[in-house]
Amino acid sequence: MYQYTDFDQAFVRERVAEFRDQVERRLDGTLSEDEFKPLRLKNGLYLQLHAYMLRIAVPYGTLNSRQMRQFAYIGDRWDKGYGHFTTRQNIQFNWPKLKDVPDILDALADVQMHAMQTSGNCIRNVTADHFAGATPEEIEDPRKTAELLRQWSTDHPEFAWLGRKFKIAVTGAEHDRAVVKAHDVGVEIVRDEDGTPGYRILVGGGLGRTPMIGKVIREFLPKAHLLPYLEAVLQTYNLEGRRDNKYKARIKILVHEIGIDEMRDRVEAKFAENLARFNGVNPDLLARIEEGFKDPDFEPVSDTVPMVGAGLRSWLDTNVVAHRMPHYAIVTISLKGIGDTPGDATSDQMRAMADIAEEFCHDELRVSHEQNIILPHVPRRHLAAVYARLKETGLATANVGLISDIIACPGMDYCALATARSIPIAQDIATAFADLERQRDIGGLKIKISGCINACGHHHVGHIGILGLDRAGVENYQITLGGDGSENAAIGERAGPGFGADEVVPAVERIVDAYLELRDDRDETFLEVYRRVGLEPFKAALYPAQEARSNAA
Amino acid sequence: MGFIVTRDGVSEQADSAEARDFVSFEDLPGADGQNLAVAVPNSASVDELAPHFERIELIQLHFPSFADGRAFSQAQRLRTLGFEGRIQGTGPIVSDQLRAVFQMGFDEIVVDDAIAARQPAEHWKVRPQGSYQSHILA
Repeated sequence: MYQYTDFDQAFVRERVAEFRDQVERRLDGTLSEDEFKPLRLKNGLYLQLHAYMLRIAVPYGTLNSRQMRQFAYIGDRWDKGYGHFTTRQNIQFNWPKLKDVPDILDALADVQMHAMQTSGNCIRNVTADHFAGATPEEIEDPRKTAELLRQWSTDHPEFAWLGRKFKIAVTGAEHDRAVVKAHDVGVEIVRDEDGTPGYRILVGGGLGRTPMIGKVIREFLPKAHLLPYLEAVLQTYNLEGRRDNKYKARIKILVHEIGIDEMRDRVEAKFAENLARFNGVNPDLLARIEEGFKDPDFEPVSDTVPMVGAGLRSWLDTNVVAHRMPHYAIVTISLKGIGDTPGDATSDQMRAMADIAEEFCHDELRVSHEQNIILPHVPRRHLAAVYARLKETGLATANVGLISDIIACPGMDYCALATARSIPIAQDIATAFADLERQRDIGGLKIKISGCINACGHHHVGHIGILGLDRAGVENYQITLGGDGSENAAIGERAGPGFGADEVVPAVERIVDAYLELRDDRDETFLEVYRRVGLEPFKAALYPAQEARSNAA
Repeated sequence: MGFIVTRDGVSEQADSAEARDFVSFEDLPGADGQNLAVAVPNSASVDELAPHFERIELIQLHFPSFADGRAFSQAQRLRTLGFEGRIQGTGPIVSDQLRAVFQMGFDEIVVDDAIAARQPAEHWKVRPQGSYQSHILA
């Protein structure tokens, strides 16, 4: 893992001191609440429905056991004994007191962490494939690029006061687990004709109230040109993006309004000037980053051990995938226990995961944007032991990728923006489909739930997307179908009128029943069926009464 | 009482902001003379100033709100395009933005009376803080 340099360490300490000073100036009134708000947001501090919420950055989702234990400590000392892992690979604490936040930030700095730029109209924490460095299908570990971008974007003086937030994601594998096409800028590591790695750059993707799939602005960018190129993208956005309406202020709207070709021309013109002034990145720093992401000390190949037990076998089927070393595996720890809040972990569970990572996984963990925790490098001979240990702490649910592995935003239980609850809907669906045999029969199916139009729950790219709205004071849930957050990214289509909170589970049941009827065999996934037959058969299943009426007419 | 903040610290407004005649952005192409001072709106493309750089002594950029960071990119572009004169910022910025202001090539900020009343001169210091952008460059 990348270790902080003296520079990094001094930087985060200085920022904590600065924030401590800003809190004092807010409390003595020299900073108005309007002025303080963006300053606290840049340090990850939101004001939610009931309390402040602190969002802590987990850069590209990677952390070690010491850092995970520090989250447990923060949860116990300053919060209510749990934390919430988010769809941006971060962790949120929902109940900190304003006066304690500088101390929490110091506790984070103790373990090389921070909460900078997890909010506000700036370049946000950079995300990456959560299987980076472990998956067999990778051109290059995307975290090296993401770490360079973390450093470049941190406190960037030109881009700290953008028209709106700006999210960057990086993938090094063709199979996209980072949803790069739904980001303001997506960076894909690709090879040119000679096999040299470089970047394909996408721009203008995003979810929210105007979902858009990112468009390719540069087919191939030499690696050394990344920073001046992104500066040109950001500069074009900062100068020319709309500021008259916050709902039209993301770069996707600029790209949509002027067109990708015009956008490309404007960016290329600025890029040429930036490049002329650019002398490259310090090679020592690049070497340091390279060193930070070298392979862990993989153990030698050993004899396989037999793995028995029905529970273990189904967990191996769903939660364990191939590692690029054949005697290793990648384990996903589901934070989606049936009936639990998606993405929540108690301090005890965090400590248990930290212990397992230290003992069996080269001291490394990942946060996935699907709100699960990854053990990226587990020797296969330890899988049974890892499973047993997870089971002890209630973390062995074998449902990764299945219908109960639901993404949900915090919704109206916590969030000031929410128009409906998300968490209880997720809990109801998971409980209705609790039978794991049935879940496995249904197969891969991603449900994503947002409690408002801002789409933090990524509902647009859920195979089944659920959007909670407020209809004259009553929660109403719109269903979209066929969304996809992978390399085949697609925005789901709205099925029809929304459903009341207690009608959502029956609606999902009808969709699933329709799928089971329509599929050729168990190998044809929900998404494949949807692509084959389209919306109509599902619509008919969702709205049977309406269908009967139109047939009668 | 308002004041001017430069890299060297705070000075009385009277010292440097004596009633100067600013040429508007639109009028610049037709304006005569040397050592001009130009007031540039926040939405303008500063690239259009480039042919006149030699005649301009001072460019004033405006922050309509402290949360509107377009002037940061305008200043950066002016320096990229080779402007070597003075760049002045106006508008309701907060002292926490001072570091970014100087990093982006501004020479001074005009702090008006209303802001100065709440954020007195002693607040307008650049906190010691490393810069990643210079740290990562060769």
